[in-house]
Amino acid sequence: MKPAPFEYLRPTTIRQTIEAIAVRCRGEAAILAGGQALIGELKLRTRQPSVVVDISRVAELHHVQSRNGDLQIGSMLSLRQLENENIVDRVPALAVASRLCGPDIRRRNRATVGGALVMVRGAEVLIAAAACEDASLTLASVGGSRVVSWQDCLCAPGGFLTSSDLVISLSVKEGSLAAAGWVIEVRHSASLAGMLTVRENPDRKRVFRLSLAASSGVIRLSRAEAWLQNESTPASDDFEAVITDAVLACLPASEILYRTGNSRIASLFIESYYRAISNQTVAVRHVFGTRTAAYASKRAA
Amino acid sequence: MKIDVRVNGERHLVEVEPRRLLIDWLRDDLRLTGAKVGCDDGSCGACTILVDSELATPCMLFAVQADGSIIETIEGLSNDSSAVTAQRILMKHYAIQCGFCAPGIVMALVAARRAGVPAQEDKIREQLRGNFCRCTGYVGIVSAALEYLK
Repeated sequence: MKPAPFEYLRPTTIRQTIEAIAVRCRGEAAILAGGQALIGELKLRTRQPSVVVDISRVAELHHVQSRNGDLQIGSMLSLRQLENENIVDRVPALAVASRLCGPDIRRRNRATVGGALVMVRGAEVLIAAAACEDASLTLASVGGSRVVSWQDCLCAPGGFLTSSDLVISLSVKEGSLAAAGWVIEVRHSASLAGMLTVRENPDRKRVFRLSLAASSGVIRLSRAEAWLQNESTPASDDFEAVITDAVLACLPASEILYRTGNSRIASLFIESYYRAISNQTVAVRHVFGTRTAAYASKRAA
Repeated sequence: MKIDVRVNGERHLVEVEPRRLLIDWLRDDLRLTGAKVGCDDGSCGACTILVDSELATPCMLFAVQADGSIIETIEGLSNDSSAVTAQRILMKHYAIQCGFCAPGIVMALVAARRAGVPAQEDKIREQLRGNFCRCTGYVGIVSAALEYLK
């Protein structure tokens, strides 16, 4: 058999799970959610944990519920479930992203929200969406549970987790659900994803969110968001500032900078990304102009 | 670990090692060799089966994960008129050559019909993404799917 032998545990509650991870396994357990990344690693024996904790039967991790003004999405929800009609209207950016982040239906049936956010690779679109939604993650360990914002957890993928942490849920503020309309624009390639969301609030004010995600992390392009908000036309030099923001944060655009080795080329990349996105805002305005409360998923660039 | 799985209508209450992959259990223990091992990393779809009515690739599942599930493999569809129709239409459109991918494609098409996927090319390509075919070039497969889902 390809994987090395391991002890298999299948807890049914969060309490049992975190105790299994922390006490019995002393943090040396691998957590098996959908398995679409872990099983590959076990087969290649690049990971050989002594214990595998299967969390698929922990009912609490499958819930979608409203609590304290947040919509909480259980970490064991599959990416396919996130596309479900009942959820797509509540968290459209995440739903659109989940459709783009798994390579096919089979793997989206198994891959989970929590797994994608922790593994990151291949899930850049989902992470870009989480940043646009101002999402946060609820984690639990034997010490108790804690909530970490997307800035704290997704900017340094995986780094926020200790070996005894369990991802419980992804939370989105309920306020963002009260929108009268949404438009979502996604551009993604193999390891880079950008997402623009435009939300029209009940008072018809529009809120623009723009994010860029790569395997090294995610940023919100706040300067570019302000340009979109104010309908201003940035000068080419202004894009250098976006690069500076990203480099200072050691985040995705700096990955582009690393690849191109030239800040001018990097800023041109950001500029072309921004121009492409802002051209789509014409379509955004058209959608809102006809007062259609809808969201739209554009084809990948 | 003991698992209780229903495969093609037959109940199996058996002991399996946790590291035993579902595809190996199906092929080697139950001798259900219709699901093929192609890429062995979940990419090619040659091993596609239905687990609790959802498409799945058992090369990326442990048998213990299927405990309590209902599994359908291509062998279970041998008397299913919908699957037989899918096979005939695939042959009619020259959508099968070596046949290695065919069981997975038939599973995907049957699942599509059950789910009410419309006979539209973009929906079909979405449904079949993850079913690799190295012989036919997909044009015949998509034509067959359009006719099958009509």
